[in-house]
Amino acid sequence: MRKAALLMLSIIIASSMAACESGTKSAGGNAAADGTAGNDTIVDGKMKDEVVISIPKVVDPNAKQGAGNLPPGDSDDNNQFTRYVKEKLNISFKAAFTTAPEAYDQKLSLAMASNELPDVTVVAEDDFKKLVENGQVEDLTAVYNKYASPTLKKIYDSTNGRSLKQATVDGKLMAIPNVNTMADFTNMLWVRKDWLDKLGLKEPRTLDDIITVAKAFIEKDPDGNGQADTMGLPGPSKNSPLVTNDKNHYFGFEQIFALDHAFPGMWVKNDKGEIEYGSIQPQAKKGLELLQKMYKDGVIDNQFVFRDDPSQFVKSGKAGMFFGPWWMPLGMLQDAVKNDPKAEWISILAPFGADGTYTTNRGSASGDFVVLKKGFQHPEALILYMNLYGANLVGEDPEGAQKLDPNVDLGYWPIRMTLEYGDKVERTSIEVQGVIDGKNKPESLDPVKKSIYDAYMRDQKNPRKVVPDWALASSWLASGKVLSQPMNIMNNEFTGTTESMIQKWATLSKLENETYLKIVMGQLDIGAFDDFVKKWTELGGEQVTQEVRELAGK
Amino acid sequence: MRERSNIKHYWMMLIPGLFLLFVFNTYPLFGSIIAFQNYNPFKGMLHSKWVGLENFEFMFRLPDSRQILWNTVYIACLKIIAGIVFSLTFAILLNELRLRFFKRSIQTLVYIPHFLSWVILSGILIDLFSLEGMANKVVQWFGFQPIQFLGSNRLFPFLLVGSDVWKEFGFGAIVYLAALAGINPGLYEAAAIDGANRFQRIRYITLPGIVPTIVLLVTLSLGNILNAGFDQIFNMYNPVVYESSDIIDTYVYRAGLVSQQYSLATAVGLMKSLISFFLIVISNMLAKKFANYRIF
Repeated sequence: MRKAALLMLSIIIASSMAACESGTKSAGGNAAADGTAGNDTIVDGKMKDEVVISIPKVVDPNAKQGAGNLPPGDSDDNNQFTRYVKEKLNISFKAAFTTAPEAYDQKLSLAMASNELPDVTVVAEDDFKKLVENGQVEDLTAVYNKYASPTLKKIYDSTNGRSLKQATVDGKLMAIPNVNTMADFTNMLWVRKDWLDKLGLKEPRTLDDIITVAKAFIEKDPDGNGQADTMGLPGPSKNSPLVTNDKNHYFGFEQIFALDHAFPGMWVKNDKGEIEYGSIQPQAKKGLELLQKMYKDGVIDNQFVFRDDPSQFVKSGKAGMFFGPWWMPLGMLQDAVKNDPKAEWISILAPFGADGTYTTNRGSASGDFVVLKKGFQHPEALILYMNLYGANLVGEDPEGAQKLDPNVDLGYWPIRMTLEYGDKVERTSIEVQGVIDGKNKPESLDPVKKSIYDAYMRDQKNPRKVVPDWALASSWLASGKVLSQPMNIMNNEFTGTTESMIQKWATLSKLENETYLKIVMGQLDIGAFDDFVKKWTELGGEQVTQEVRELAGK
Repeated sequence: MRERSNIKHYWMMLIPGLFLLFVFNTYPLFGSIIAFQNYNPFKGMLHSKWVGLENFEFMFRLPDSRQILWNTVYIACLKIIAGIVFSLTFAILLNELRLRFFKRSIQTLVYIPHFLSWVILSGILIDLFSLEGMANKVVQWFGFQPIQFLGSNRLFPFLLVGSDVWKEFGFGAIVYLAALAGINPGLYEAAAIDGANRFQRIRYITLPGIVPTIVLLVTLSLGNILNAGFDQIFNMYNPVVYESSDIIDTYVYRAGLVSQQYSLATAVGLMKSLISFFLIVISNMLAKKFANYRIF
């Protein structure tokens, strides 16, 4: 296995050599597709001739058949969604390559490096920019303007145009962006209510409360097995940063930094109104100091830097508190509750700052971009798909509502990304709560919300008996309600990559990661933060900051 | 006449080997040119911009490079030395055993770990050496504070070397055992008659008898000095110990595949290959001089 990395590179190189030729070939066939996305290709809202779109296919080897997922006999390639799309739009899909979820990014990197993109790919912003720069993707301006449905436009309007702006380069719409669910960015505090009750503790509100609860969870044997085997706060795994601005990041300590209005990993405006990198701001030092103390006191799992998968402690009932987004019940908490039906997980906003406010970070409006390979013959097919998909997700597709079973995971849509109103969690919670309070009739809900309502009603009768029911109610309804409380929101001012970031960011983030972790673990004194800031600036951070300010000013 | 046609067959048998060599070793070499380009995957190697030695300059200006190079050499040297010392000692001790069955079973037992992959072993090792792991239980029995083996830049390289030795010393001993088997038993008998005890026999017969093998293995391992073990380190390290365990290969992986800096990663890799090449030439010369053994 020596030179494994080199070998990988050789593969990339070898395949890209081969790709050169095919690249030029497909560019030639491009002219025909341009402009003449003819009227005659769409008849009665569907494609006249069947369009086959190749997409990357992600297969989760851990996914269980039937368990709230696909009915027997259905598969990734052939399920209610693919059949519905075929029937309504005459579009079908084939896999360009197949990968496990963890390997997806790498596989996509390879596909990009070898210039063998599938017809349609969902890529992150950096990759999107690169693809556009290299002229690999189709301009969608014309087809979007012509075929986008009012519903799709309404969804993008909910971001005040931020989404479409991110997908527009030089005035041309080069991708169909997703709309991030803003709630995904907030790391709520998840606590086991049954442990709190057992130890006679209140729901934590301040950081001191959290520390008190964590210590009690460690020392007072909340699971009652007579062994000192429970922990306070698990930290992020060794492959995940201590703190980031990524959505859906869990076990991170963003909220502890946010106490002092520090936002590491984000580009934020400082007092002077200039954009600055949050990780080097003086406030971040305070957050690190807090974390260092918590680590020293054992409040934070002392081994977190070496853990592959901290979620095992939540699943096995060894941890009773952690930071994570609103949808945790739809993820690992299902296992936690299955393993221990007495576990009563609740989500709250904490810690509140000294001034009694709660501050949280928000990222960009869009993070995923659906790009169409240059030269694809029927760009309008993608818009048709997005119209249908968007309408379905926001509950404005009555036919789909009737035909599609809401219990089947939305992940089985062929091209998948979040495409709903930015505040959909809060919206859903309010709407469903209205029905629970008797203000509206259950029939007024669209099927997805109806299924949340039904799940809630069933769970009320038999609490946590049917775990998926509990999960739906707990995430959409309970967390959604908590998230509707007033809070300070800090926006990320810049996403993307600048010229010198390409060269320097790896070094800079290695430095940041290393310093932060070492300070938290007490291997470095808190004074090391100032050295870090100095080094960071010198090693290219200053230049990157300048470029970010320029680009964000545009 | 018959001889000549035989030779033809032998040449034919070379073809599959040469073909594989070309496909997997020679053809990819052309890819190295992206080290001299600002490589852009979409433009491909033919149309990417040429930047000369810029990537190499940047590599040397990187604050990490010195540390990475040092780590690589340091860890590799420790591994080579410790590996030879342990394998050799073990082989000699095993050679002194007279019970055949016992000897065979021990030998089999110690080389089993060689066949386990680092992916599996690293999980076990991380559990063993974590704060609440077995190693720390032992430390605590003796009344010491638990030690952060996995988070200490002082200890982590030794953990890497130690686990590597544990995994490989049994397998490494095989060569020495073979060499030992080649020593003329008559020498031992003569020495015994002259009244040499066991240690004297080891010192004056066994060791001189396998010196060529030792020299050969040491010189050959010089060529490997920049391979400090990607699999092992990649599976065992964490950001806290980058400082002491980040080696060229792990860096190339992170820079090349994770951060997509293909050109820089290739430049680093190419540099490594160049140095390795010279080391192999040198070690070949040394091997020829000391052990009269040559590869080319």
